[in-house]
Amino acid sequence: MTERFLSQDACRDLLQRVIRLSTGGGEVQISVRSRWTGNLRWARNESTSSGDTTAHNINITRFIRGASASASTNQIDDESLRACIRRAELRILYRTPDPDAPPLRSAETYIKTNLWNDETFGLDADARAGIQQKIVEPAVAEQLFSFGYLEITAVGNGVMNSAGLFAYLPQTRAEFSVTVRNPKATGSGWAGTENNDWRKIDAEKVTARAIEKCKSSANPVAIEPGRYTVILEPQAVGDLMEPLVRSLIRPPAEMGQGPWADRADEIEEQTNPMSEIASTLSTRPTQGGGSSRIGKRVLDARITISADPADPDAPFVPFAFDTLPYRAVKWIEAGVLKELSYPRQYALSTLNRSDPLNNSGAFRMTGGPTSVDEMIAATGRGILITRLTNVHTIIAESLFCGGTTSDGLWLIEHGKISRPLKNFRFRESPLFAFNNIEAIGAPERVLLDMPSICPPIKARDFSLTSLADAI
Amino acid sequence: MPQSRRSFLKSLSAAALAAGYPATTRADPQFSVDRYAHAGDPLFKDLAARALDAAKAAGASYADVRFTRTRTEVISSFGTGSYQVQTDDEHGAVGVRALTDGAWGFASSPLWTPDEAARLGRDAASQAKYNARGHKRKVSLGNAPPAVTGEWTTPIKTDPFNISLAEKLEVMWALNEIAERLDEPATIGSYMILHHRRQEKTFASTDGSFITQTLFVSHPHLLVFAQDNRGIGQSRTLDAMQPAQVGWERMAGPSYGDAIPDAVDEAVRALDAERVTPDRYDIVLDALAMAQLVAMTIAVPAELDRVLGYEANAGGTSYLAPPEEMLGKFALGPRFLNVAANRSRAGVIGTVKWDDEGVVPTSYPVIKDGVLVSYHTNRELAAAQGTPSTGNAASDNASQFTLLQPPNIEMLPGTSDVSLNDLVSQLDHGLVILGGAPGPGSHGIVSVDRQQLNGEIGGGMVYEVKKGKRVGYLRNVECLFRSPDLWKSLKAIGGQRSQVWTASTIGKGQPNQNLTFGSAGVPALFTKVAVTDITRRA
Repeated sequence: MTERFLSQDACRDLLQRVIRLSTGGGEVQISVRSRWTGNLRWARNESTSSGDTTAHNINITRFIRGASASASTNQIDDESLRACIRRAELRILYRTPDPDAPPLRSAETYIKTNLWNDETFGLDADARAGIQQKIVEPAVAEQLFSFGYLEITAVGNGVMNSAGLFAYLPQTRAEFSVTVRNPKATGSGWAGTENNDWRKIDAEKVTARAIEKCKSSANPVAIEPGRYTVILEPQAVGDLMEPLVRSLIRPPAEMGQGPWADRADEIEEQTNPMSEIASTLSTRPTQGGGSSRIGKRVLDARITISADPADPDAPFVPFAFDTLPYRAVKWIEAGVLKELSYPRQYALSTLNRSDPLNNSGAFRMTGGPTSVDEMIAATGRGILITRLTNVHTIIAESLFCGGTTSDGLWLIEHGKISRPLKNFRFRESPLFAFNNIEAIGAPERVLLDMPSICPPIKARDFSLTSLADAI
Repeated sequence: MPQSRRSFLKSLSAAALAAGYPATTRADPQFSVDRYAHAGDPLFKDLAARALDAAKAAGASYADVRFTRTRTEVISSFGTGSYQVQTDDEHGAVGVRALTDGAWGFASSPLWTPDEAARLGRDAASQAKYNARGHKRKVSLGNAPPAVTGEWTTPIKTDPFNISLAEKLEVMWALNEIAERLDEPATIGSYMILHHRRQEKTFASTDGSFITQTLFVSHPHLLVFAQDNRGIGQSRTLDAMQPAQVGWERMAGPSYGDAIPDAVDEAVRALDAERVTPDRYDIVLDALAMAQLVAMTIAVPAELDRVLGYEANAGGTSYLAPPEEMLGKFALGPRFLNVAANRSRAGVIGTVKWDDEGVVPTSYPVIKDGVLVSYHTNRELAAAQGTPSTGNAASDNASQFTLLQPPNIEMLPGTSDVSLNDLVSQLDHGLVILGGAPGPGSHGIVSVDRQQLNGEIGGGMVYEVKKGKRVGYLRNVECLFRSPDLWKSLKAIGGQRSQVWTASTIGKGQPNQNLTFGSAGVPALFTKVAVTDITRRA
C-alpha cells in the first residue's frame, strides 16, 4: 500500500466501483472512512506501545422499492465489495417497503470547511517519539510518573450515491492527553485536548497542567458529601454537557418522551426502560401527541450552544455518513431551546421541509468574562473539579446523570484553594447545574468524542452524593 | 377468550416456535469473501514469513504477526414483523508487533499481500527503534513458550452464519410474540437482539509458533417490558440467554419461550414497586449479579498492567496495588471466598487454546481462602515478575495492539448445597438483587470507578424480604460499595448447583479496545450494605 489512507481519486474510484457492482435495479449509497493512525502510548515515563495503522470502513446501503438495508466491510477489492452489496440486498428481502421514502438526492450543499493540516500529517514515528521523550522530562525532573497518549490521524471521508452525489473531505486530527501520578499513587492529575492542527496544541502547557494537578492533589482528605458551589473546569463542563447535546432530538420530544418534551406535569423521577428503548425506534412510538420545549427557556440565559462545521476553532466534517449535511445551528440561544435535530423523513412528513437537521455531537458553548482564578477568589466555600468520568444518564426524562469526579479535586475556602479532596460520586442534571450558574469563563477546546468548546463554569448546589475515593 | 399463560406456552413446543411465520430452513448464500487463506493454507505461512523476516531484517529481536478475519452480525427486533440491522460486517486485518532495542512497535493494515506484510514488519521494527531512544527499562519477554503448530476451533454444531436470516427472524419474532400475547394487566413489549461473531485468527512469531483458531460467540438477549397506564415501566431480561461460545444449536435446543411468562410476570408485578428507603441493608445477590460483581471488582483489578499503573491514562488503575503489599498478603474477603481464573472452560466467552502470544493459558487461583494470590499476566508483565505468563494476551482484532485482558473468572461455590432461596430465607430484613443478563457489550448492573475501588450495583430487579419472605418489589435501588469493605461483609455463598456463567466487557487501551471475558457467580449474602435511591440528589 503506497497511500496511508484513500485519496480523493482513490476514494472516488472505490465508490464508483461499488455503484457499478450494484446491479439489478434500485439505488445504492456508500460511505467510506479511510483512516491512518500513528499513535504512541507511554507509561511510567517510557513508551509502552505505538502503532501505525491503516483502516477502512465502507458502509453500503441498498435501496429497493423504498426498503433499505446496510452492510459494511473494510476490504476494497471487487469481490469483497460485491459480497457486502449482496449482504445488504439480502437484508432488504425482509424489510417493509416504505412508499413514502424520499428519493436519493443527486446533490447536497455542504458547508465548506478545512480540516486538513500538512504539519500534523507529517508527524511521523520519529517525530512522535521525540515529542513523547521531551514531554516526560518535566515529570522525571519532579520524580513523578507520566502516562499519556499521542495520536495523529488522517482520514479520507467520502460519500457517494447512485443518483450522482459525491463528496470527499480529508481531515487530520491530533489527540494528546497526559496523566501524571506520584510514585506512592497518592496524587493524580490529568489534562488533555485535541485539534485538527497539532500546532494549536501546547503540549508543554498540557503537561505542566497535569503535573501541577498531580502535585497539588496529593494526600487528599475526605469531606462530607452534599450540595456544594463548584467550579467546573472546561473539561468537566464538557463531560456533563455531552449527554445533553446527544439528547437534542425532536421526534421523541413530540411523542412526550425525553428531556425536551413539554410536559404539563412534573414527571416522577424514575427510569422507564420501555420509553428509552421505544424512543430509539422510530417504527414503534408508544405515545403520540405533544410538543417540544422549543422556544422555552431551558438553561441559564448566559448559555448559547451552537455547532458549525466551519467553526475555525472546532471544525468538523460537514456531512454524515448517510450523505446528509450538517448545517450551522444554534441549539440553545441565550438559554432558550431553539432547535432539535430531526431526520429527513420527519422534515418532509411533519415540518413540510425538505432538509433534515442533523446533530453531529460537536458543539461550542459561549463563554463569559470570569477567569477560574477570579471564580476561586470570589468563593467562600466550594469545590474545584477537574473532570467527570463514567458519566451516564440515569433518568432520560430529566437528563439526571451519575458519575465520579476524577484526577484533581480541591476545597476552596475564603477565596483560596485550601486542600485536595477525595473524589465524590455526583448525581446531577446539566439542566439543573447549568441553570444555577454564578460565573462563566473563557471557553477552550476540550477532549470529547466530537470537537467541543466549553468554558469553566461556577455553579451553585451541585450534588456530590457520596465518597468515591479512587486516585 | 385469551389463553392462560401456561396453556399458551404448552402449545409452543421448541419445534413450533415459528408458529404463524413461514418456516424457512434454507441457508442464505454466504456472501462473504473466501479468497483469504484458511487454517493450514500455505499462503498464511508465506505472508507470516514475509512479515517476520522483514521485522528481523530491520533489527527486531522478536516479532509476531496476527491475521484476523471477523464476521459480525447484530440484528434486533422490537415485537414482530420488523427488524433492524445493527451490524453486518466483514473485517480482515493483519498486524505486526516488533520488539527492537527493548521497545515495541506495531503496524497494521486491512490488506493481505506479501508486499504489505513485509512493509508492516519493517514499519513495526523501525517505530520500535525510535521508541527505544532513552529507554531505561528494556522490555523482556522471558522464556519463549514452546513453539507449536496447531489449530483449534470452538466446538460448535452449527455456524450461525450458515443460518438464514429468515430463520433468525422467525425465532426473534416468535419469542417476542410469546411475551406480547400474554394476557397481562399492562402493556407488554419485547425487544430481542441476536449477536453473532466468528473470528478466524492466525498467529505466528519469530519463536517459531504458527497457530490458527476459529472462535464463535453467540449472544442472544431478550428484554421484556411492562408499562402501566401511569407511564411507569419495568423490564426484565431473559436470564437463560447468556453470552457463550456456542453455535446456532442453542436456539434450537432449550425452549427459551418457557422462561418468558415468568420474566413478563416479574416485570408486571414490579410495576407496583415501592420507592426504596435509603439505609443499610443485608442484601442477597443472585448468581448473575455476583458474576458481574466478581468480574468488575476482582477480575479487572487483578490485571497486572492496571496494578502497575500502565492503564492510568486509559482504562484506569487498580485498588489491588502495589503488588509487594498485596500479593499473598491482602485478605479481600472471608476464607470461603475463592476465585479462580481460566481460559479453557468449554463454552465460555474468553476460552482459547492459545492466547495472542501463542501461550497456552493456565488455570490459577486469584483469591484463595480470601487472600489475593495471583495477577493476570502476559509475557512482558510475567517476565518482569519472574513468572511464566498466565496466557492473557488478547486484542479485539489484528488491527489493534495486543493488550492484557481478564481471563474467564469463576467464583467457586461453597461446599454446601445452598441455593438462592436458602440465602433469602436467612434475611430478617433485607433486599434481593437479581442481576439479569447483560446486553451485548455491557458490563451489566455493576459499575466501578477508575480504580475499581468504589462502585455501584443498580438497575437489576430488586425485592424486599422480611422474616425470610418476599414482601414486594422496590425501585430506584442503588447499592454503594467500596470493594474491600463489601467483600469483607460477605457472610454466606451458594453451592455448586447455584453457579451461573455470563460474560462482561471492559474498555481499555489507547486506542480503546473492548475485551470480553466469561464470569461465573454463585448467590451470596452480604451484610449492612449502603443502599440509596438512585434518583436522589445530595
